[in-house]
Amino acid sequence: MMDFSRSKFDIVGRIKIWYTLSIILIALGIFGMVKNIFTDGFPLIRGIDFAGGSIIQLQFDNWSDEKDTAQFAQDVKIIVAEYTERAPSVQTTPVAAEASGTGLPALQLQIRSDASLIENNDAQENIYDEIRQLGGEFTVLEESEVGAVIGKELTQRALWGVLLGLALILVYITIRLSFDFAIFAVVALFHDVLILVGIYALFNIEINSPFVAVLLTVVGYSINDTIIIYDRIRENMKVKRHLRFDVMVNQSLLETMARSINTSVTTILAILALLIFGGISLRTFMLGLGVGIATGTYSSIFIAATMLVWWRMKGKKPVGIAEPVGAVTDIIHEEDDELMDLGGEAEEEEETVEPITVRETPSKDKKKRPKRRRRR
Amino acid sequence: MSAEKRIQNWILVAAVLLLAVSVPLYKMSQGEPALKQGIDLVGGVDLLLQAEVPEGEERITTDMILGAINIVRNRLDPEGVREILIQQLGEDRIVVQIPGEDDPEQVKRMIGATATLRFIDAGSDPIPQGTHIRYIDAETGEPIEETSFVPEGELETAPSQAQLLEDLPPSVVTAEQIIMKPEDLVGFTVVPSPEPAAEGEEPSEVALLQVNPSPAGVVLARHTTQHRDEYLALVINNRVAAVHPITESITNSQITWPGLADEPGFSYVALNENLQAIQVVAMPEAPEIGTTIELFDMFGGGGEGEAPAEMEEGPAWVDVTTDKIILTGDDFADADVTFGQLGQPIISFQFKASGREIFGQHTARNVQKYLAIALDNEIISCPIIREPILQGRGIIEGSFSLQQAEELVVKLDSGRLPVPLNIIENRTVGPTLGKKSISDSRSAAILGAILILLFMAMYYRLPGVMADLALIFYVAVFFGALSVLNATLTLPGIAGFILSVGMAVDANVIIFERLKEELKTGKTFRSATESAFKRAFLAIFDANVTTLITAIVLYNLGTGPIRGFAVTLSLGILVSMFSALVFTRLLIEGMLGYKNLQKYSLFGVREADVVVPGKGGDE
Repeated sequence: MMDFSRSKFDIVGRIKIWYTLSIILIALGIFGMVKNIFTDGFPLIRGIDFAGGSIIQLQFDNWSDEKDTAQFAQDVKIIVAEYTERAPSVQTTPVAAEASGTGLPALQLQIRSDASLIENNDAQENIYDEIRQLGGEFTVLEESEVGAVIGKELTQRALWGVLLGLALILVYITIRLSFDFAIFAVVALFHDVLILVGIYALFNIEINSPFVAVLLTVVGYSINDTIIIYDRIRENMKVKRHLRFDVMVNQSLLETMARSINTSVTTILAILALLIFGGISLRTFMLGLGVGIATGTYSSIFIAATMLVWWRMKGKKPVGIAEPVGAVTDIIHEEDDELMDLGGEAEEEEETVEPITVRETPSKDKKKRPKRRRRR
Repeated sequence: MSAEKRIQNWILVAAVLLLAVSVPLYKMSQGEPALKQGIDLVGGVDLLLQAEVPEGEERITTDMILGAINIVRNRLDPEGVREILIQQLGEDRIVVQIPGEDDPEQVKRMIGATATLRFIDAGSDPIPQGTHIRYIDAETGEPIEETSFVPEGELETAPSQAQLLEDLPPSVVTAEQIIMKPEDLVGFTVVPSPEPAAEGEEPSEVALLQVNPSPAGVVLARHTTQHRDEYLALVINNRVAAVHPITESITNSQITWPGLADEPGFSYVALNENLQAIQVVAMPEAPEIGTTIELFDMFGGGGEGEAPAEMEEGPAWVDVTTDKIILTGDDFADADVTFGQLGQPIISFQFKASGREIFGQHTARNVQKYLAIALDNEIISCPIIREPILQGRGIIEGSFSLQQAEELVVKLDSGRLPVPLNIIENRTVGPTLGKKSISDSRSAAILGAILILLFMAMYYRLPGVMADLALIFYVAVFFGALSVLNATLTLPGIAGFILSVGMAVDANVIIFERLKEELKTGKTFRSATESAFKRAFLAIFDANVTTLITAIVLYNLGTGPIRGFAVTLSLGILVSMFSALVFTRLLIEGMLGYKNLQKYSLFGVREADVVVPGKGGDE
């Protein structure tokens, strides 16, 4: 892999590209959400965990090819419809002989309804009896029913969870770094959450309780990734005080690039393995995680850090490192001290960070020199 | 790190590893699974029960919930050997999880019913075990629907009794038609007929059947008011002995039977001693004297002999008026299985003070009569009262096996749920689906792990291999810790684990990227390692703390599967920090003890990139 820290690729100077890309992605997601609000009254397709309802999944062993599966599904729909106000959805999935566990071709049948089918025992028993007459014996793979109350609670809990998590993260980063760092970390986070939710909306992926876990994992990962980069910026603010803020941030991004890519690549490798070879029940979960980790990595680099530059350099020189780096390194403007401000807490940390850089090298002078040389 | 510190850390690592490996091994040697697996992995039933405020109470107390949990546990797992999780959730909810259970219906039956135990005065005739009961309100005479047995299929949809009876002879009667049973009767008296006797004949006599004023008298008054112009039949030993046309309401609790004296073989004295043989049956048409009455059976389809077995066993359900209920489970204190003189299992029981007095009075008056014990609407036992039970203790003898006796004791002890419970969430995963998804996910996880290990070794070379060792250490400690914490592994838990593997890798990546940078500045291997770990620490710490914050929020706000995810994620973060910052460091520093391993190429650094201190000074 190439050595990014030696590259002069200008990230902070190309914010127009990054922001346009992000805005397009977010806009697509919002389009999906608006579309869902018009068709369904809710931005996302809610599964039974959120909306309440029941799911029954049955497997008919020894399902011969001659049987008319489509007609069977239609008949089951009619049977179930007697017990529900709105028509249930019925899906069939053929299972090949090798995968069925019995060595015979099987058929999986999934019945979903927004009404109670299971706790209303009469309905369940009657439905099972009638289905048995039509399709023969079956085994129950899954029966789930969630009351509407629980669904509402889950929605509330998910919202509170995200908000509370965000608030706590904001406080933590403000303490460790500074308030504007915290704000842009949260902006990057919203960016990731919006894209993730947007993808769920756009592709009509149903949300269930694991979605809350995905959402909060993405929040956790995105913030984790942003912090690693911020940490490097924090360090470089002290070590490379001679660099202009935007140049220094760009340098920090390039220095951490290898780590950013390696970490997301390894995590995505694991997710990919589970996505492709793992159980079906894990699939949407893993898809969400994969998307979240990709956007989380992207936003840490291209949103959180670049917005920091935009904010601190507002009204100052044009953003970018188009000029040769060396030409600006020695110019330290008075305003730049302000730019490099990390707040009171960070000043204290200097005690812990500085000594390392000083003590480990023979002298401060010698440490600086090689760096300059390398850049030329 | 000083040599002393290093030895300390090695001991710490060894201790952690020892604990993580020995606990699961110990559990396995005890025949327990090293790690419990969730419903979504092995299949099973996961229910969420919502308690409702019981009638007459203002709110649900913790005691009620705990009582309900005990009862549910007793019902589902009387021997206490099954692995069932029953927990209070929030203020008024109970979670029930039974891994491996594949019959949710049975579980729901056992939990769902708010079982009530009733002691019923059965009079002189035992009610067979298994008989269903329809409770009739003594005041109104109406069936009490909530507690009563409802015949299979709803009466509205099933062919009605009237329809079934249409083709049957009028001699087939339903249980409802029997309006007076032997226990309702007081006795016969004979009075001269109120009608003047014809010339030259002896004044005729009529028989007066006295019934209990309440409730039988009330039932009689209502029936005769509502069914004018129908008939009452006096049935002795299933034969119609006399007919009373209903012309007016009978309010004095006695029925006049004209013409009874004409029947040969009946003597009032004999009848008074043999009231058990007598019933009064309501008939829409006047039956012939001497007709044999058959009892219509809902399940047998009538007197056609279609289901003779049912007929021989007696009616499948009986009516019990509420005033026959002597005591309920609320009055019950304790029950135990003991053994009789012949070694047969018997049940000893004890009432609370409230029940003791009532039970004493009843048993004193009803020696040699039967006492039916009903759980909800089914007779579970019908022992005979051998002697008055004044101390509130007694035994129930019956023809039950030891197992049946134990089950009965559980039912008696568990008594009545203090709060009604409703199932508001049900997740049942069949064992097939669970097994398939765990075997798929397990091989996928192994594949993912191998990919990560390969990637690390190829990209970071020697430190990468060290990181791989640290990752294997991490996985071992992580699962060991789950086993120590007695946590349950679920699908979202596995996902949380994968994410924390990602973070464990990340910690190592951060350290090694740092190490490369430090080496390029021309530091010695030792000092480069030292500063790489020191500098990486802050980044890893801050990043993991923020993720930990979300995991903790997740744990506090989430339920079930989300909590499992939060637990594994938090645990994963802590263990990964330990493994990266302590174990990886020990490995790398230990490795640096070998001079011939101190090569740039082994650390993924090109020699040309290294700035040798002192040489780079001149610009």
